[in-house]
Amino acid sequence: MLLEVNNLIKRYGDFLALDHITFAVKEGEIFGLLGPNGAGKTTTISIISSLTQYDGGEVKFLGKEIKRHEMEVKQELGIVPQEIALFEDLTAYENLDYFGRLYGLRGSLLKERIAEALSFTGLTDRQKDRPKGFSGGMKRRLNIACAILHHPKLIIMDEPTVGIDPQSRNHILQSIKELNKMGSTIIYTSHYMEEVEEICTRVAIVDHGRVIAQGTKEELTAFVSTEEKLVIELSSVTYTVVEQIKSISSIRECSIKGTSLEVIGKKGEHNVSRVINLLSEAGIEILSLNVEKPSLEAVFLTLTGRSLRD
Amino acid sequence: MKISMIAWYTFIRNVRDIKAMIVFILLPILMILILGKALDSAYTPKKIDPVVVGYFSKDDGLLNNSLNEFFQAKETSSILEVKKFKTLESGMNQVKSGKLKGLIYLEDGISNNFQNGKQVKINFYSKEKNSYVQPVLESFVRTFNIGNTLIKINGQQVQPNSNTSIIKEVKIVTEGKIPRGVDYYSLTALFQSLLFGAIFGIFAITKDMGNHTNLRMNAAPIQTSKIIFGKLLGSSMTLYGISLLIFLISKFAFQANWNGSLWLILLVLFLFSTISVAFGMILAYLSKSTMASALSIFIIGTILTLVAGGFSRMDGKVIEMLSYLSPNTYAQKALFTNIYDGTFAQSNILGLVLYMIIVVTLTFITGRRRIA
Repeated sequence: MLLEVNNLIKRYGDFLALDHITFAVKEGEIFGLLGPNGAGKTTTISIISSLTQYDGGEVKFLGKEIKRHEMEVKQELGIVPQEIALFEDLTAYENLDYFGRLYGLRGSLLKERIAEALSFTGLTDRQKDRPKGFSGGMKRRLNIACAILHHPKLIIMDEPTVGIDPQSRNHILQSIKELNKMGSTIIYTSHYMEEVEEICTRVAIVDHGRVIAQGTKEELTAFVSTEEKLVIELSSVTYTVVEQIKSISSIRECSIKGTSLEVIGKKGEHNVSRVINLLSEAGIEILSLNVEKPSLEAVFLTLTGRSLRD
Repeated sequence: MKISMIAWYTFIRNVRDIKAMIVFILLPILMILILGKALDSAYTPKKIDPVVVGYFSKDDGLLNNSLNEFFQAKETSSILEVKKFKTLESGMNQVKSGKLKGLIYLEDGISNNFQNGKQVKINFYSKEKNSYVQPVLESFVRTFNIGNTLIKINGQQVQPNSNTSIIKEVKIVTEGKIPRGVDYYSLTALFQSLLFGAIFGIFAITKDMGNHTNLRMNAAPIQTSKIIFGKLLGSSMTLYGISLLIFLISKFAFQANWNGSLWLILLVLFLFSTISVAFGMILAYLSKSTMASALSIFIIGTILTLVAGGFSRMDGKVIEMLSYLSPNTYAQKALFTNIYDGTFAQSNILGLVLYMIIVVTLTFITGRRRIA
């Protein structure tokens, strides 16, 4: 294991921010920490980054306790904080030069790494500009560039897509996948379920300072695999047919959203064929039909009774 | 290596803060101009009346002629008003009655003896010690190249100071011994501004808190003490640079008196810049707020300047005791003593060094505590 977090406890006065958090990150994976705001994700990664002291448990990086090998571990980590952490009064190049030197890079190697990071994040043309004039997405990319300069073994990204446009978000997600392909191990925290689903190999769902579930996406969705959701696009829809669908014993819920119908029912009860029959009998044309797999959102909902964005 | 890098970029970031740079360069210049002009009369010495001395000579040769010529010179007559006497007794009576500050007396045949290569003496009699006459006579001996002449004051031989001329001495006495307004405020306003320059120390901490770069720095493999040291060094260099610029402007543009030891001036300005920046860093670590720290330094800085006589010279025992809490006191005394007395006020220099050690130590303690 690259990183092992065992029974991690953190208190802020009487408030228990982390309650025996336990998870492990394998080399080469993208590990997601998914949870709502205030769940304890940032506190967890602050501890891993040696930015915050902890009250109990242990954190090991490559088998070494981080408290005892702080500098050694810090050298192998790349941190992308949730906030944009850049010197606004230095150029993009100077920002990279600054943080590269903090990690001990010098001379031609430093120049090479700066060029590589700028190219990777698509900021080569803006290297002489100060971040003051950058868009939110560009700042986020430079924020990442500062963390990958020294080729860390583990990159920790705390909500790196907060507050940016979809195009930049997509660029960042692609970059993360690319970094992973190049061999980097990544811890990715987010409260955006879609992002975690898209890029993470394994996920730990965190709530109220505890890991409430962890595993691959498939393992997690197995928790809620007793139901299925049908999304049917129709030429038209009537309330009569909705009532008829609801009367099917295996169907739990049926709702209309415009001209589409969302049906949730028990798995393995031939719901698809039953619903199609009813719609055909009513003379309603089916434009499309999709059986949606259970999402991590559904897993979170099942486990906590709340949605991720509550 | 990492420390010098942090120091360098801290310096660069400060220099790029154009508004702060303009304020901290213009502020002392305006203060020197305004206070120096407005309060100049309080510091400019009044015209000094010449000292009245008597002169009696039994000699009518070279030395008598030379001395008479010397007394009539413009530079000498502005300091000494010489009354000639026909007898030694009449001159001595005037000295005893206090009408004369002293009497210069040449013995018979002194010029002949001098020309024959013998050692000769010029006598000066006075009731009290008079610092003006001795250098005047020394200068006469040097000016007229009468190297074999002794000066005897009240019968005691004095060793002429061979390094300085009377013309120079006279100038120091009348023009340099008492600071003018511009001289006084060139120093005090500079130190007051440097104290407010603590803002660079505040910026070094709070700016990085504001833009979250402190997170990235603390997550990097570098000891906290090195980060603190780098920031302290970079900001101190910024303030030191500003202080040197103000020093040069006040010396050459305002003609302020900075005629002390250059090394001492450079040392005091460096120590003071470091103290000021460290002070700002402590306040920033404690308050974590630019506004709160800046307000604190404004209030504290004004009080420290006030008790050190930065706005106007203040007297009184309480003020004097309080003044030793202010680094301005040590810095100002060290430089004033050097510029106007020509001596090194070692206790004040040592006081400033100790002040710096204490403030810098507190910076490291508060900085490490805040980060832990």
